[in-house]
This record gives sequence, structure tokens and C-alpha cells, in this order.
Amino acid sequence: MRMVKTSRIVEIRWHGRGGQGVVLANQLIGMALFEEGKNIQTFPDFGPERTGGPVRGYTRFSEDPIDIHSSVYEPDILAVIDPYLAEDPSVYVGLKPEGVAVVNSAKNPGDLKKKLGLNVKTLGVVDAARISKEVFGAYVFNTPVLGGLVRLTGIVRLETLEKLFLNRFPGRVGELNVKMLKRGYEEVAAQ
Amino acid sequence: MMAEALARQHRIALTGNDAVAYAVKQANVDVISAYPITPQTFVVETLSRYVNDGELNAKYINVESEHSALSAVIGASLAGARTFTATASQGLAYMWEALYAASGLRLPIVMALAARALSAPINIHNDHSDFFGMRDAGWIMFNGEEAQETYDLTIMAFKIAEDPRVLLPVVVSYDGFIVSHAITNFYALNDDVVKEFLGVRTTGPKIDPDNPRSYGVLALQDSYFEFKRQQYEAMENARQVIQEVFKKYGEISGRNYRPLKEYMTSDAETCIVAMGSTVGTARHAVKNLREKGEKVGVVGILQYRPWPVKEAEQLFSRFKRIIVMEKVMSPGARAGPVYEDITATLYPNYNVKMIDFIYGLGGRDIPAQGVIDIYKRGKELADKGKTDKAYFYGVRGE
Repeated sequence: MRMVKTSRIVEIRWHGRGGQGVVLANQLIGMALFEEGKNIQTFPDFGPERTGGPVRGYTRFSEDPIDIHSSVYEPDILAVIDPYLAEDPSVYVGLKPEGVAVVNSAKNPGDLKKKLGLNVKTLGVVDAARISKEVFGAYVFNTPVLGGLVRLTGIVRLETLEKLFLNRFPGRVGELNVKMLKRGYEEVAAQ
Repeated sequence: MMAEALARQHRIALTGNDAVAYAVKQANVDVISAYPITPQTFVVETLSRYVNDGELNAKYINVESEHSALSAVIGASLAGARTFTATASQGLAYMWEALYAASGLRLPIVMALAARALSAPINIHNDHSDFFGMRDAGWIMFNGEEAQETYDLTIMAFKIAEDPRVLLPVVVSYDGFIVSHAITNFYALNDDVVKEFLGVRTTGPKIDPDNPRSYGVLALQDSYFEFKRQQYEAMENARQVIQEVFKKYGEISGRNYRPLKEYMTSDAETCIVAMGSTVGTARHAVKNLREKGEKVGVVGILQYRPWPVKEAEQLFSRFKRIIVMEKVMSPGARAGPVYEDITATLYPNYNVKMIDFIYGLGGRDIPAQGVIDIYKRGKELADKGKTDKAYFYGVRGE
């Protein structure tokens, strides 16, 4: 399952709520791309930062230097880590029809696609609530979705992200995050 | 990049703020004093961590305001130290009187500015109002487009400031949030390379108890003007020194800087002029426009003061139309500051149709399509000769 590259600069947009780890997941995918030799640009949305409020993050990557410096309006890849936002059609605005969306949801991807009336090539769902409860004993939404995103897009190797997680969170927290990452990778259901 | 130059550096990914802090650490400054302000705060947070962890052997002075931060750095610089401070927006405004003291005392202070809008209304996002507010303070003024330029300019700033022909403070500005908070990859020189390039500060004032002198003296009608005349000359000297430093740095790094950055200008009929991160977005837009056959190029302003008069004259006189994009407004003026600099440069050989656009105030995003819109509208206005005022782009309802 590889995404079709439509432009030389690939754009990713993350949606979630303050405190769910949008900024971290966005940074980690950016750093993984950097580790694999890509040119990257990864930045949070510059709106007010409040726990619980909607938060966005953006990453661009390319084999060539990236010159554009605006927000991302027409992403190739969309990740939604909040299960309620995942059912809000407005977060999908601008997503390229040939792109990939990966969202945190317990729903069947076909049903969700229909419910949203979504015109996108691939919609993947990861039940991050169930995975994180089982692995971590608490809700962690960003890591399992990140795993699903890697599987559906193939933009980085899973091992690169595993290393970054272990560096960032040495010890048990890192190991459990790697477990959640892998579960997301394996269990993502796409349509 | 040449293999030789590549061996002198390493690939790294940092935010713009951390790129500045990294450069300042490598410059091995002696004294840092700053007061936190969004979006600059991470620069001094990272630097205080370097100092605390023993990675940088510098004195970090905590102060209660930006006025005190620059004043502390002025004192340290007078004592012969290599000094650094950083600020943004209201913080820079609060430094105002000390800005003139720093340049008047001929101190080679380096300051980072994460450019941000000014109150009121309060806004933490990027425009260039703070930067242009210090236009006449006698500082050398650079503008980095992204982390790479900002890092390189920060290192070169010390070399330029400390040159005995110059001895003036330097500000390196970069766009708040857009650059300050974005992680991007760039090449950083190895520590030993920066150490060799910059050495230690040996020039400028140095308070010495064994050789007492007066600095910051009262100079009235009989001598003030002479001080100012010399300060003016120092800024003129900076033109040559900047050129030399750019050249030397280019030999080391493989990155060759020029005061004005050109993109697809050689056969362009219309030139878009911008500063900061918009320069990159404009290049992106121009790539698109070129594919549609539009003869358009971009000029990015890297060196604002001293204004590169000769380069600007040579370059800007080539075009039929110039569209200036400014993230600042000067209410009541004919147009924005960059527009006025360019027209003053071209006078009296003024055959170019020039259009000024005020855009992006308070962080209003400018996508590539925005630059394309400005180009189309600007071209039309220029051809109709409607050059009598500045235009706004991106205001709701306009």
C-alpha cells in the first residue's frame, strides 16, 4: 500500500486536540523523514494552544529543498488522532482525492467513509483507544495512529520511528510506545 | 555541495530558534542577557540550558526587562566581551533607547529578532513591524529566510560586527513562528570551523582599570556631530566588510550569500520583492507562473542595512515592473519602507512601474496562491499606471 506521489513536495496535516500529542507525532514523523535523508519542514499550527482545543500540525518533505512557508491547505496525507474530530467532515477539507487519511476510530473504514461522504483514495482507521488501553492502560491516541500512517503511506521505515521513540522516552514508556506503534501498523484497516 | 565544504559541516534538524542558539553557542559568546518573549523565548531557553550544562562557558544574566537585557549586554560589550541578546516585538520596542546607545557606543553586539507584530491589538504572530521600527537605530540589519540562512547570518554577524572597520551592532531577524518554531534541516559548521572563523573578540572598546578611559560621554554642540559622522562612516565601511565576510564564509561553507537574493530575474519583466520566509513562497509561486509563460522573477532582501545601493541600482533598473510585498505598514507614508528604498535608489532614472502591497500583518498566512494573486493584480495596476498609493492584500472584505 503505497501512496501516489502527486507533487515533489509531500504534505501531511495532523488534527487532534490539545494534550493528545499532535505536535509530538508531527515532530516524530518529521524527524524520521529527516533521519532517512529527506528535506523536511515540520511545524505546529500557530493558533492558540489550549488543552482540549483543536490543534493542527504540518509536515512537508521532499527530495529537493523546500521553499514554501505557508500552512498546508491541500495535504497528501491527513492524520486525525481525536475520534470525534475524525467524524467531523471539516477536518478533511483540502485532502487530495488521491491522498491517504488515517484516523483514530473504532468504526469500519467503509462505513466512516460513507458517513463522511469522503472522496479519498484511502481511508485507514486505527482503534487507538482499544490498542492504548490494552498496551498502556491509558488512552494514547497519537502513537497507534502514527503506526497506521506508516503502514498506509510507506513514507518512512517503522524501525526509524521506533528508534526515535526509544530515544525520546528511554525505558518502559518508550518500549510501550513502540508496542503501540507496531499494533497501529499491524491493525490499521483501510478502504 | 563540494566534498571539501561538506567535510566541514554536519546535517542537522532544528527549529529556527534553536538554530540561532546553536550558532551562538558555536560563536562561543562570553555574555548573554535576555528577557523571554514569544516567539523568541526558545532561543534564550536553549542558551541557558547550554550554559547550565557546561556546553557553553558564558555568563547568562537574568534581567527583569528587555531594556535591562540590552543594557547589560552593552556593559559587557564595553568590557570587551562577545555578547548576544534576543528579542521580538514589544521587547524590541522596549529596548528602543538602548538600541541607539549600542550603535552610538560602537559595540559589536549581536541580537536575534524573531520578527513579530506590534500591539495594539495584541498579536504574537509574524510581521516585520518590529524590524522596520529599528531601521534608523544604526544597526546592521539582516533577514534570514529560513533556518539555514538565519544560522549562517548569526555566525557571520559576529565577524562583521567585530571588524575594526565596522564596530556596530548587528540584528539578525527571522520570521516569528513560521521560521522560529518550524523544524527544518540545514547544514551547521563543525565547532572547530566556527572557532577558527570567528576567533575571539579582540576589537572595540575595552574597559581596563589599568588604562582608564571614558565611554558614553556627554558630547554637546561641539563634538556630538563628529561622533555621529564617524558612526555613519562605520555603516558605509560595513558594505565592504560584509562582502568580504560573505566571500570567506562561502569558501568555507559552500553557501554564497549576496545582499539581494535573485531568482529567475535574468529575463524577468516583472520582479516581486519580498523579505523573510515569503521569499521562498514567492519562488514557489514564480515556478508556477513561469510554467504559464509569465516573465517574472523574485528578489529577496537579505541585507537591509546597510541598504545595498549599488546592487539594488543595477538589479532593479532592469525590470519593467516591480511589485514590492511588505509585512509592515507606515500609515500616512507614500508606501512601505522597502518601496521607498528602491525608488530612492532608482531616482532619477525611474522608468520602472512600481506597486506596493501591504500583506500578512499579524501573521495572516501567505500561500503561494497569494503571491500569484498579488502578481496578477500588481501587474494590472502597474500597466494602468495606478502607482499612486500602497495596496492591501488579504484583508477580509477588500
